[in-house]
Amino acid sequence: MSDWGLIGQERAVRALSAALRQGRLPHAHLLVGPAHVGKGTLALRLAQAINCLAPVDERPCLACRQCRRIESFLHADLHLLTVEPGHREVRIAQVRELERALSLKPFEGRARVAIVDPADAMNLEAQNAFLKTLEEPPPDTVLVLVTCRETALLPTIRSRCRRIALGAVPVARLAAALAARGLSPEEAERLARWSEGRPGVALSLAADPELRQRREAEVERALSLPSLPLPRRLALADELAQLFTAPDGRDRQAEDAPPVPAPRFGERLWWVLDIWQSVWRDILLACAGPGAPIVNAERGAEIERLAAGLDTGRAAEALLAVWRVRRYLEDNVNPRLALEEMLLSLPEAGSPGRVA
Amino acid sequence: MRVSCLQENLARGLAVVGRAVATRSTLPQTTHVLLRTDGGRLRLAATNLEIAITSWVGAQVDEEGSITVPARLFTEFVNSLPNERIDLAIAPRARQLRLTCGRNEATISGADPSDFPPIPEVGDGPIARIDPEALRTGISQVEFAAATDDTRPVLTGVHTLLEEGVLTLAAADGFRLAVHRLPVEEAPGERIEIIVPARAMRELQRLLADEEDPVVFTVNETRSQALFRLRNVEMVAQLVQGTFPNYGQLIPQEHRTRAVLDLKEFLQETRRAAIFARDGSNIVRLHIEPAAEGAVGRLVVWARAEELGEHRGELDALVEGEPAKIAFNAKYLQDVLQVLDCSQVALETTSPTSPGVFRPVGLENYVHVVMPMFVQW
Repeated sequence: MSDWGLIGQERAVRALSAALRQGRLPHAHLLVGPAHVGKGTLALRLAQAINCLAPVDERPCLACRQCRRIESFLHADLHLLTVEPGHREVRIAQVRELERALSLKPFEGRARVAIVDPADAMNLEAQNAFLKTLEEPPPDTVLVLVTCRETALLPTIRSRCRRIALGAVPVARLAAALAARGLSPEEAERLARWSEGRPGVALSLAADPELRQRREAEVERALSLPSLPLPRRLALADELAQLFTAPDGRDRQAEDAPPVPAPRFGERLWWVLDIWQSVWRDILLACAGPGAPIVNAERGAEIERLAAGLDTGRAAEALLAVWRVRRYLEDNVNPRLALEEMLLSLPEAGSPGRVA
Repeated sequence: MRVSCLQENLARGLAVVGRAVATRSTLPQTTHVLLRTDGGRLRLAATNLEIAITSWVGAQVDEEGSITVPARLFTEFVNSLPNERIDLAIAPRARQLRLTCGRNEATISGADPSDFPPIPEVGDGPIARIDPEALRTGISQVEFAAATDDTRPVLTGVHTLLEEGVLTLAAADGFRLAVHRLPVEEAPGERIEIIVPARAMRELQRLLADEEDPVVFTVNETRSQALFRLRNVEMVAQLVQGTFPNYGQLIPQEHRTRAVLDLKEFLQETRRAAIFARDGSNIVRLHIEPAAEGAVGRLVVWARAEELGEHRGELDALVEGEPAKIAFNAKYLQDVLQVLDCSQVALETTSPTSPGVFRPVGLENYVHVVMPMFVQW
């Protein structure tokens, strides 16, 4: 399968499959890029391509026993290093356990593949302990680190991996891929646009009608923020802070379920902030002039109306506030304070002097 | 699947494979036990991905089939049943095992057997046949010398070399080296050199306890797994990656002093000394004194604990060569003396700083090298 069943990311796929065919696959990879663009899927596809039973040019076939067992995380030579339920970090004990497993020859495949996802969740001790394995992995071992926060990794980790960057997929490309998966052209266009070129987001929206409704409600909330009085904003900050630290639900998973990569810490809040960011960027674009391709085109009229009450500088400040809070949260600032700061710096409708 | 067997037999089979069930694992299937009809028998299998054990239980098979069920629950329940006939059944296309025994009836939720890690069987590879008792002795004399920490994974295994009809087992942890050679009853034409995890060797040793027939030993095509077939049981060991250090050069070829000692007495003295050594860096000092006028040769065993006291014991020794002194870790001394199966042991030394060599007297099949401890004499 020449595109490895991925949407977009041709360059990354080409690089990896060429290396595989020529038999000079590096032993450590670092897949970087925004969340939900296909890094995790690519890591899994690489594990499949390495172990696939089909002829070299057809790997991964996604149909053979090896491919299927890897796809469902049942393969004994696929090692997933991720945040365990009830924890916030990947700990050194997990790294040691992985090292032990990697010291044995492959169980059922050609090579053992260890996927570290999210790699930035490794704490400092875990990263340092992992260096030894990265430096000199056992034979028949391929390591794949997955991260959307490359800078949270030690330079010594990064320098030992082959870096492969993934990016957002052009919206038209994503829409075509979604249509090819059976969505109507309108729906495909809409979800591609809403997801801002992130296939992972588009596919989960496509699969879950309730998620689509929740997204619309979140856009609604973002649009109503300027008219939200200050005390209500403080209450909202509190609510969002709780969303940030809420358990990710994996502890309620069935004990027999195979392990899957943990979502980023605070994923539910990131989901909300992604949407807010798209709304505020739409507003900024509308301020700059008509005709710009906006994400939430369905709400074009409201976006225009909000833009009309703001100058470009004010709109940009609001967008920056949303960006800033993400940085703060990643840097471990108290979530409630960070969110309050953002909500208080968003413009207020009808407040003289603040909204032009 | 519809199968009947005796509780006693099923419980015994489960106890055997239970040693390979993963206790805590990232792969949930490995906490399950696989049940599969196999001709007129019921095949049980479990793996923790380091070892896999398969065991066959005599059964009456009325309908073929397979399932995996949580090993702990199933084993505990079967153990609690009276020794009567057990009927096992899986409804077609269901993932539930139904068990009836006497007036008990249970259903256990299982999982798709095709999700279970594939457990290799002894194929057409090169095979060797080994006497079980000899193999058990061999394992017991080397496995304890393997490293227990994971800093050098190759040292956590037992180097296993099959060449010219002789099986050589070796283990080392950087401070000591144990090498045991045993003849095999039937050997493959080719050379087999692998590293078997010491843990797997210990399990094999346990399984060999009641065996009488020769054990079949082979490796798979990719040399990633070693298979041992016993009567009604098969064990597969996942092999260790890497190259074992060339230990031949670590065994001193010459010595200046050789003392032949009574094994039991030496072990006894070592144990006494160890009591004091415990509080003094575990150091046991040995003085070897050749026969002098009017006195036979002797070995003095001496240990001291700072501020607590000291112990000095001696035993007769048949000494060749110069007087010598050497100090060892009490644990290493006891480890090797405990596993020897002979009446006399020879200790060979060259200097207080070069390794000491232990050999059973009258047997050429074993050598044990221990690094001395550096002490002020």
